[in-house]
Formats: sequence, structure tokens, C-alpha cells
Amino acid sequence: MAYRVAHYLNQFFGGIGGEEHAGAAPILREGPVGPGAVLQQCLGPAAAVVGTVVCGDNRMAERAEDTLPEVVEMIRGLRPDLVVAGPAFAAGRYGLACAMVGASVRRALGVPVVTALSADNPGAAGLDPGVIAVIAGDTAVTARPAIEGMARLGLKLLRGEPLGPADVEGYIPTGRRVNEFGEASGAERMVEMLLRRLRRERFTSEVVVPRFDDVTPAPPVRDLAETVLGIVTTSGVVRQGNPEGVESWRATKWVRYSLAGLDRMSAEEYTCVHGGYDNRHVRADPNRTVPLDVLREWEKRGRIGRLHEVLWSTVGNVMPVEWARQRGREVAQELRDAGIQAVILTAT
Amino acid sequence: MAYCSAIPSIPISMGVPRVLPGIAVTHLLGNPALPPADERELRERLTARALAMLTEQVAKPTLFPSA
Repeated sequence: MAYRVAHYLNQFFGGIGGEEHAGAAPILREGPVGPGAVLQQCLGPAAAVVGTVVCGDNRMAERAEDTLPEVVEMIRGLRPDLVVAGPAFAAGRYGLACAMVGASVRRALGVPVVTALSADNPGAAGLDPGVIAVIAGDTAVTARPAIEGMARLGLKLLRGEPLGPADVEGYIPTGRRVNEFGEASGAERMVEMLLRRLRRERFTSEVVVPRFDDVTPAPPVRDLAETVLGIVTTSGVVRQGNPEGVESWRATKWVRYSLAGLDRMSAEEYTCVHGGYDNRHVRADPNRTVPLDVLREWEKRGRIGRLHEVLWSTVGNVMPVEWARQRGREVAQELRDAGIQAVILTAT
Repeated sequence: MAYCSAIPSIPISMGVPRVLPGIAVTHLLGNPALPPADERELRERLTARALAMLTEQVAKPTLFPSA
């Protein structure tokens, strides 16, 4: 029996209409629609596009909280073995919609999801690593290779065949690493890479070095006595018993603690769960990474305007740069929303 | 933001504008080997440096002296 495939499209590719219909609520169509015909052709007899969910891009962007569950339920009803979304090319809202639908389907149904996005589509940033995104061109002119790629990788996933590396298979890297035996030892490969470099030939690093941002320095604080100061730490200070379950490495969360009424960080109330250093000195006296004792006194003396009542804390240990970037942005927004004008961040 | 780190080369290489070296990874703003009053004084000195950093104009990742 053929595998069952559900397809997600926006209002344009789903044949409802252009921008004027971008608010369209999700609808379910039987069988393939629009680019689904090419998808069906590429899948061949092994898999059948049994239904298509079409939804307006604005509707998904503006009302994801109720639209996304509706779309997932429609997809669930199709009892798919594979979900295909897009291709969305460089279209931002459509790409984000495909990424969101993909992540939700992964969580709710656990079936494989394939989409196709241009490498700089906003949907490609922070893509759920369970969603495989074929690298598409910028416009629908490149529809055919994108759909072929989705069909090829989709069939592999359906058959439980392992995917090759992202650059070989043509999908956006998921961050997943697979051990394999090489022909030459690391030392040999390293020397070979060095020689290539010296000869000014092309070489590919085996380790992808994360790209860091250019950070524009904030202007200086004019008057500390008029400033609301925030404290942020990645040193792993948490409430005793770690009720929020902050992980000691690869932490997935930030915690926010009220410092209202506290003159110092007491070891009775706070501890440290950072797993990347010997944390007993911080457990014995958490002021060693959260200098509340000093700052509170200076607040009372008027040296700083006000110490904001919330401490933001996490464990900065083996945290992937991408996670740090994403959550850092969220925390920065919270700090801004809280009216904090300057921050002391302690990182061990 | 004043960024205090025991390994300041990391934030500097990541592009953090204002970086203050801490004392050690295991006791960033303190030193358990010191008597409590001296340790408190050390923390006040470092925290004062962090606040002073916030008031200074910088154009690129800058490592401030800790003393």
C-alpha cells in the first residue's frame, strides 16, 4: 500500500488567491493541489498525496495560536505517514508558516516532515531540527528541483533510510552530527587541509565555526544614580532544590527570580547547578556570581538609581550558539520591556 | 551591559563590547581564600569597575582592567 502524504500550502499556491486572500482560514482539499501535482509525480506510485491543507499566510502569522492547532488537526485527519510543506522559496511569512506547521506536526504526530526554503528564508532560522528543509531557490521558477528534493528526501524518511550529510543531500543543516569512519586519520586530514591552504586551494573545514555577531556597543550610561540596573547570570545560580529543573549543561531555559526584599544572595535559599565548573564556592556564597550584597547597599546609598527586582539566570555550559542567540534575544527584550537601562551579566 | 567573565577572551572574541575579567571561574566576584571582610572589599572593587565600564564610551569589544 502506498504511503499517505499530507501537503501544506499557502493561499497563493493553494489556488485561493493572492495577498487579498492572505487572511484565509485553513481549508482541507482532497488529493493534490497546485504544486502538489508535481509532488505526486515525483513521489511516483510509492506514496500518494491524500490531501492538502491550504491556509492564508497572514492568518497563520497573526493568529498562529488558534490557526496552527486547526491545521494540525486537519493534517492528523489525513492519517499521513509524511507531511510536506511548501516549497516556500524566499517568501518570509510562508516560510515561517511551513516551519511552524512542521514543528507542530513533529510534536503532535511524530511523522517526518519535509519542506523547502531558500537558505535565507526567515523560516530557516531556528528551524526545528526534526524538520528537513530542502534548500530551494528564491522564487517559484525553481519549483521543480525543490519539489524533486522534497520527494526524494521524503521517500528516504518514509523508508527509514538514513539521510546523508546536509551539503550532499541539499538540505539546511540540522546541527545533527553522525560519527563515521574516514579513510585517513585526523592527523593526515589536518596536514592535507594545511597543505591545501598553503597552496591556496579550496578546502572544507570539518568543523563549522559558528558565526558570531557584530554587536553595536550601547551608548554609555550618563548617570548611574538615575539608572535602573538589571542582573543577569549564566553562572547557574538557582533556587534551592532547583524547582524549575534548570539543566546543568545545554540548559533549555532561563529562570526569573524576584530579589525584592533581599539584601544578599543567601546560601540557604540559593544554590548553583552549573555542571561546567567546580561550583562549591558559589553554592557556599552565591554573591560570588550575583553581587546582590554590594549592589543592594549601593542602591540604598543612591549610587545606583534602582536595582530591578528580577534576577535572570541560566546555566551557560555547552550551550549551542544558536540557542544562546535566540534566548539571549528573548531575555534582552524582557529587560527592555522591564525598563532596565543597564545590565551586569556574570558569566563564569 | 557590563560582562564579567573569568575567561574574557571568549566574550571578546564573540564581540561583547564591555568585558571585565573576573577573579576565577569558580569564584568570579570573590575569593574564598580571603577573610570575609577582604572578600567583600574585593567584590566591591570589581562591581565598581563593572559599573564604571557602563559609563564609558566604547567602539569595539573592549577589555577593561579589573583593578
